[in-house]
Amino acid sequence: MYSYTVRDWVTVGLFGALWGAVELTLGSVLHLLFPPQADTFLAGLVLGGVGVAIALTGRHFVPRRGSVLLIGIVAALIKLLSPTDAQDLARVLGPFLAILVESLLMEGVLLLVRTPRLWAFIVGGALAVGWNLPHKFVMMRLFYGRGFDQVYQKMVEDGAQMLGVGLAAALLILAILLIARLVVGGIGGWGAWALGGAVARRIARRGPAAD
Amino acid sequence: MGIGRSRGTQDRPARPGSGLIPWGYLFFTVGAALLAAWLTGWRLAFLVLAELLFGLACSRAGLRFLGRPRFWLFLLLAVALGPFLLGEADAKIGPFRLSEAGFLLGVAMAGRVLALSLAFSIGLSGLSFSDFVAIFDRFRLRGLGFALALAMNLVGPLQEMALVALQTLRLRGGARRPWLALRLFLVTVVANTLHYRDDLVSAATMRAFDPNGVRGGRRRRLDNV
Repeated sequence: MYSYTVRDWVTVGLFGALWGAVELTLGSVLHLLFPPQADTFLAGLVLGGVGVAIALTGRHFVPRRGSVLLIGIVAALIKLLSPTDAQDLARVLGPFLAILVESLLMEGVLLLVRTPRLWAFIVGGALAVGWNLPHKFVMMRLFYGRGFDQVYQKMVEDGAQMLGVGLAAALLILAILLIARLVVGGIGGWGAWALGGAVARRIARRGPAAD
Repeated sequence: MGIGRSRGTQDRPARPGSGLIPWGYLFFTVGAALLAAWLTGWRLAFLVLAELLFGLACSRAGLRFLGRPRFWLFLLLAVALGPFLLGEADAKIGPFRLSEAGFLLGVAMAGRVLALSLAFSIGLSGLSFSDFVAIFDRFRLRGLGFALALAMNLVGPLQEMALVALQTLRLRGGARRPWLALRLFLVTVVANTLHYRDDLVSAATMRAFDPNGVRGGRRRRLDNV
């Protein structure tokens, strides 16, 4: 991190601000449009996909280790300390941890690959958005403790019994939700690769002032 | 840096009347959250009481959420669902078969949520962006503090820039070709974001900002000499 130049830190700040701005504006709109139950299924999916695309696009312009994680830390702190959202703790703490884990997962994949590659962006994006599914359960476990495990198990059993389907069907639904997230994340990663490349080429055509 | 919630700027001292430094709030948040995750039973109740006393003494703003009916509804739901969903039913009230163990577990879950909410709400209400920047600086992460301060000041302009780009594309018939419009929108937003960069780098360089330096480090070295 000590090898980062002023330009790198400014870029980290800018992309962190962009991700934070999306969380604040689009997040608020989605929370208003859809009920809280849709958070897991829709709001998290959309915000995760866009966030992943922004963070990985930022990696194009700060091709150094840890840059995606730093962008995530900046975005997460903006979300945590924003005046509009800080009033509702449950709506802030969840996204704060989600952003941190998502950026950590993306950074982990990029660290393993070392030189940026398209498939690494896709895998990193897929893993990051894929985290959205277990995130809800992890947060509930964190908030409510061991009691939540029993509540969840009971709800799944009762729900399956009420709908007349087996427990395997519940697992199938979870698997479909996970696959949807992986696909959206992969598209986000691929989009970031394409977008970063397009902007870099466009700026390079204009003159030597930028990258 | 004049940023932060209901707190001061460089010229105006923050948190008038409160003697606790940012580190105090940070340690309180981390400590209380860990204890809330670890303690059970009466010990958890004592933790909630201690948090309330701390909040009354140091950060009343952090207790504001306790006045919201929605929060209490959320807590009562956990308590109310416990007897129905948890444990073996061992009591009968009217048509309902309830579990005493489930009720106690529901109360414990609600207590834990209350303790965690108090820990974070009181801690965060006492910390501003400036405090976080100072904490990063103390950990020799001056660059990260700089990036955070810069990001906080640029959230508004970036939102406005994106909105202008969106409206421009819409007025120029973007809705007729949505995929092209989306691509143009994304490229415009990222390119404009990067345009800010050059100005910011120039401004920081002119002020001799060193992301890896320590504030006041040179003076200390000279003093030692």
